[in-house]
Amino acid sequence: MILKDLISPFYVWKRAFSKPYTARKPIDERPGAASYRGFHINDLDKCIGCGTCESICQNAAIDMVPVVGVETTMKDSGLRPRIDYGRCCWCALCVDVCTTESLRMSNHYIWVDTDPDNFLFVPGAEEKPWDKEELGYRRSEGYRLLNFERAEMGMLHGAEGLTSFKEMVFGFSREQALYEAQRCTDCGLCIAQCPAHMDIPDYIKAIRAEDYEKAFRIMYQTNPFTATCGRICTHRCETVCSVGYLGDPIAIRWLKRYITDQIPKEKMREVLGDEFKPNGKKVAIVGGGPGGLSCAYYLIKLGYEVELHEKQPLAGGALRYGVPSYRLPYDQLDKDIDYIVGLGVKIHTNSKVGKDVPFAELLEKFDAVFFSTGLSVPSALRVAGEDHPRVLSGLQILEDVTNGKDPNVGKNVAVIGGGNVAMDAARVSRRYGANVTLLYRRRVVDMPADEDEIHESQEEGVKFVTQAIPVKIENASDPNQIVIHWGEAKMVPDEKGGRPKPVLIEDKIHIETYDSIISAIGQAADYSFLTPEQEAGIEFKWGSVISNHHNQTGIPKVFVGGDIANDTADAISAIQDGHNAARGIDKFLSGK
Amino acid sequence: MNTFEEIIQYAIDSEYESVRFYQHLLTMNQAASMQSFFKRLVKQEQGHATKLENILEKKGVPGEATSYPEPGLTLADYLVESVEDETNISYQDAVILAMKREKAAVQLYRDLMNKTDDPDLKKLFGFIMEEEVAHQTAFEDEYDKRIQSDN
Repeated sequence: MILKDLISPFYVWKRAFSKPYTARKPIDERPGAASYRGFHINDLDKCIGCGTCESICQNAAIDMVPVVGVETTMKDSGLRPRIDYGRCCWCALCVDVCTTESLRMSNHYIWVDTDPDNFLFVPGAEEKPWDKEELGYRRSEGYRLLNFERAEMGMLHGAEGLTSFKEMVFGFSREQALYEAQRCTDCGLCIAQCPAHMDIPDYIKAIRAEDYEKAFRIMYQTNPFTATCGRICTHRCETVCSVGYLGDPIAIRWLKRYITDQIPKEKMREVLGDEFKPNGKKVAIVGGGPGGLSCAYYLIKLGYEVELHEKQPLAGGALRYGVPSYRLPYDQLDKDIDYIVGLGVKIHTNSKVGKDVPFAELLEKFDAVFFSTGLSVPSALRVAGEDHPRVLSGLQILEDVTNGKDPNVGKNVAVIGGGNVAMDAARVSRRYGANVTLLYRRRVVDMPADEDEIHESQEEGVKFVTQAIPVKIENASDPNQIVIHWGEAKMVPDEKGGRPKPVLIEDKIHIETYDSIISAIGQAADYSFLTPEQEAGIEFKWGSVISNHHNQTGIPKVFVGGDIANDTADAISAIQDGHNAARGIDKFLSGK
Repeated sequence: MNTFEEIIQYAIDSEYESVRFYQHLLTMNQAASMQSFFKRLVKQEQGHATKLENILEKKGVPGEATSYPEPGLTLADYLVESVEDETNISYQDAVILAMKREKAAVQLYRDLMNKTDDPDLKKLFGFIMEEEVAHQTAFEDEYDKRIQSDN
């Protein structure tokens, strides 16, 4: 050992008390340029966690992570971008593509830290000196990476549509469908919002690849009514579309229709490749609407023998007898139904359970029963004088039209209600040449009807009178007419935060004469097919059937779905109920 | 009906009369969907009676009732009862029936409140009326939400 080796430790210790050679901050604090691409800022309240920033990042510097205090909702994944500054190249593509403009950049660029892990951070969730910085990179006005304008759908307009019951919406061309599919960011927020949880981003991706057969197969995994839903779905998915925050949401419904239109009816079996082995068990279904038929489809695929009872001459339920052909042509509904029937589902039409066949017989002969009988009983107006021959039911009018019968509404009609039945009753009456006044207790913004229906009704000349409460009906001097007394309503805010309440203003009563009054204020269920003993085994609340998460009722072999069992009362929810019940029945019967 | 005890007892008796009324309808209607509704009404009316019995025991009205709110939708003013067959009441008619009974109670206690000059009795009538208004409003809200959901 030499002397140097002996004294060197003391030499090093001496350095510990001298001025360091390195600077704590290597450069002086100079402000970045006004539009410098510096550290990220994210407005967590504005961000919806769509992950588009993560998808576009070429360096895989962004991943989406849960953040304390951010809840997952239908409109928000609950995740927020975490950025790895070891990977980020400050290209700002994440800012350019951000669907809500929540993500931006400050002009700060100096960040000194002793722990390298700190450079992996969630903007907005961890307080930083640049959080309040106004300067920094912004997307230039008018510069868009995403295309915010929807392909315009061709359709019959106004008076043009009134000449027939021809389908009003033309459907997309190939170019329009591809353009629309390319607008999708693949964020997937729509999947949670869709009651059937259809894999929307995946079938849109298949459109981009022009692989329509694959797209069709993806849709059928969760929905066997694609021709129907491609036309009249309530398209809740579009309400959460991330592109919709700054532009038009993707036209998901019309894309669904486009895919289905590319697959001819006779090729469906080949494309879907539905093969199954009978398992020897039998299930009965009561009600041939979307819930019953959806359940039948998924059950037969699992090998069950399925028999369905439908009280009407044709299957379809409210889709056939409650939706006019200008919105849903019958051949398109038949395309969906015929495929299911073609797989071997035995349908007994004109067979009303409780009258033509007792429910007890189904319980006895079948291993399980699913019922989805819909809301078939119109709510009465329950105002004085309602029992008048010129008070017609909106539901009955729509059924008459499906059966090719003139509903005989007259030339001057008042429709009461603001839902889809009211809109369709009004639009049908317009097609039969009537002048139509629609009386609604609340405001247009409160109407439960689809926005498209409201808009198209107005375009077709239906006169809307809002905040109008019917209070009395009486005979007119002409026996073929009817007089209605309706009062003006003031809107009173609901203390519990619900819809504002229409309250009658006593001295503002209008008296008007019409040829007929069409009532379409709501519908109720008809459980008359159940005996009191059967009903006793089932739990009801507010007129609806209560079931477990497999759509199973209090009677273990009885399952339920559709409008009588859910709050949303639309076709896609009924389809989901049918699918879920099929899985529940399979679990129940197979013991898996 | 001049004393605090008499008034409260009258209100309690009225609630028990409602309990009996809904129990009667419960036995008359075998449909389970309606039975669940009438069972709920029986339980609700029993709850109201118990609340009033507690007040009678303590001999005092909880809090000040000064706002005397009006029922929200006032549906009971113009909807018409249509119960032709007591053994087969529809959900719609049952809700109308219930809201009209509550409305009658509101009117009764409002009249009594307006007729008396005794501030303590006025306060008591006001309190019971407020309770009845809340019951009427609940039925009207249910009707609005469940029965005329499209209007």
